[in-house]
Amino acid sequence: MPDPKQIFSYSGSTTAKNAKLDGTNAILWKRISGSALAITYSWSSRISGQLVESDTIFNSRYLWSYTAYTTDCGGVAGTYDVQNIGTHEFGHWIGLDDLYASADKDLTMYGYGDMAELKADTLGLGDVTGVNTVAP
Amino acid sequence: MDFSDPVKSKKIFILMLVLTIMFFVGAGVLGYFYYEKFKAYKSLASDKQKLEDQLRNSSTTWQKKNNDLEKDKAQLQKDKKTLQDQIAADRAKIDKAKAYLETLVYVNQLIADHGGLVGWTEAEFQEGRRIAETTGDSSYVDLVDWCWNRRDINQITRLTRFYKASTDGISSNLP
Repeated sequence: MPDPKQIFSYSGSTTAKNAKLDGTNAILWKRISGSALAITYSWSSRISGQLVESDTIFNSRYLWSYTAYTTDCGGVAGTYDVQNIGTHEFGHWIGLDDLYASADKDLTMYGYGDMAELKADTLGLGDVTGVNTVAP
Repeated sequence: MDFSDPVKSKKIFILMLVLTIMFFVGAGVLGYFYYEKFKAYKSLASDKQKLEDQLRNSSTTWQKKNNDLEKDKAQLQKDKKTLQDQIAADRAKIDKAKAYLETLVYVNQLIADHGGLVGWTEAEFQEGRRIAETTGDSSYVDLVDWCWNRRDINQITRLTRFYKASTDGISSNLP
């Protein structure tokens, strides 16, 4: 039985090379200049204001890894954790914005990420409040 | 219609059966075509909606930034500000040193023009004083005044004091 809280589901791989409004929510890997670890592009209807599509590009300039979340240790040193950054990006998919205040540094939607960091895998109270506000 | 004749009745029954089957088959075919058309319509409506969304959408971009690079960037900006301040301070000092040097050059030219410290005009002194004031050093200007006014003492003393004050001003303002 499908989880009623599940918003996204995997529909297979894509041949898309760029983030563009094409009816598919795509996750891509591409070289991005600057300090961006990942960029999410979202399109919303000017009429209804509803999000119609989101695409995320992970920056292939950096090294990436995946480590299952545990509270007592971090991810792989020298790499960025896909789930850690991905959870943040999926926050954008549902309309949450970046947070840059140091008081928000432990929240998933904090705008800066570190190597071997896993804390964004789990949501903080501020993240949950945000989700419940934009997607009740 | 005569149903009393069993042969005739049978023929009529078979005919009705065939007609009924044809009716259902025909209805089925028509239903199938309707279903296909309906599916095509739904697909077109969906494409239309997508195209409308493309025309009526606004886009937003979010970035998750590399903390280390951002920290480095912030540090570099801080360092840049420090260097810019340092350059500005050094330039101010150089300008001041130049003012001492210009005074020195001016006085040297007067000595050469007059063949010594005698015969200088008030206007020449005032011009020298004006140049000395550009150093912003009031004690230096006082010394220039002193050198101009003390014609009663050894000329070499007047000259060496002026030179010393000028070279001290240059030395202390070299970056």
